[in-house]
Amino acid sequence: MQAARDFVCVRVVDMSKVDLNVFAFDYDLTFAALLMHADGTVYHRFGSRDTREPTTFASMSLLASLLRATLIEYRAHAAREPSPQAAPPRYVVDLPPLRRKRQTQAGSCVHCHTVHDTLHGHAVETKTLTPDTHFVYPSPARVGIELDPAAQERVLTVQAESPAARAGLRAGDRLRRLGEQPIVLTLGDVQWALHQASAGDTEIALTWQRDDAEHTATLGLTAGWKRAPAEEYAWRPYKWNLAPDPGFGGGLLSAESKRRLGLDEGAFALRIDYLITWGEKAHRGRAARAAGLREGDIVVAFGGKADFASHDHFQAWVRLACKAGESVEVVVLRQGKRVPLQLKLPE
Amino acid sequence: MRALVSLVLASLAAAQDADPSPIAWQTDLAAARAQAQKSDKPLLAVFRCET
Repeated sequence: MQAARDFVCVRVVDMSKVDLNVFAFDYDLTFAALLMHADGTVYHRFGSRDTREPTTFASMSLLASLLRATLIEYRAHAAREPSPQAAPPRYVVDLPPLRRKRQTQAGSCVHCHTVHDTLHGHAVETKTLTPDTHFVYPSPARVGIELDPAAQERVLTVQAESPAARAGLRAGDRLRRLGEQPIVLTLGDVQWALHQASAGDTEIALTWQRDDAEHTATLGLTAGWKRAPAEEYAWRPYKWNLAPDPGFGGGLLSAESKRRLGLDEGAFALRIDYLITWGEKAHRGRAARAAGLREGDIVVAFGGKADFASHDHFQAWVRLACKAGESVEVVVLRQGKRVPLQLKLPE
Repeated sequence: MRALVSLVLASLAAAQDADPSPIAWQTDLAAARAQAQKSDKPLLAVFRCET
């Protein structure tokens, strides 16, 4: 990591003093790195992930390569003059939802995901929430692109009939510029450019290299393009802010436990470890209890669906696919019997 | 994710052991930014947050 010696390195574990207008990244990540100029220019964002292991797109060798590439960019960069129109600093602790919370929990560390929680709460309170607010830092899959984890500007596959395919992009092409991201080198760079774009009908300029030639086109996107399926969204802590939720949680049964209950190894089986009967979401747990759900029940189907890959997937699906006020059938295993229950999902 | 964080920090520490000039990790973001400005170096800001 010789290249890191040419950087001023800083490690931040508390977001309370971080200016969100300068240090903008996907706050759902538990590890993120910004490679930047002191004038606030961010060259690259590193540490992003997809549905796979967090390390898929974030290895030491990739970071080392990125540091070296950034040094070249830095040396070619003319520092920006401070702009009188620059946005004033914005700190998450100044936003009312977190300010109120810290009045009773003073001194506690502000985690990265708390930024998303607070921005979401603030959007609710200021009535600026939209159906797309929570689809932050969209995956390139939303425009039909799969990137190569080992060389993240390289397109691995292009989904047929997708915006990327219609723009002319092909597997093997190397992304160069995308929207507001002048040089694309990482998954985080792509997600940043997509995050900056409107969630409505829009176009994003795209430049890529194929062989020795550069090509430019636009991604034509229709309203709602940022909306991700639950499988893709499952890893995000952001989901815990959304409603409706089932009012309970727990853990998936092991293969051995499922075998003892006569379930197939691949079957969905979630043991209810807790009903949420405390705090501001207690009404949801009470609704689950009123529907007949109990701690220890084994949920094998919810809303007609029984192929959840994880507890996170289940929780994300309920929040993204169900509607508050909707009645869903919950099938549980109790004392060896399948028991169907009706749960009306509260706000 | 903890594994990645540990890997990053351990690898950087290992690199330090082999090099007489250790990486001086700072913890004050504003001070680090000011130092980057003064020393004409880019900034590597690592955000490590456990959920």
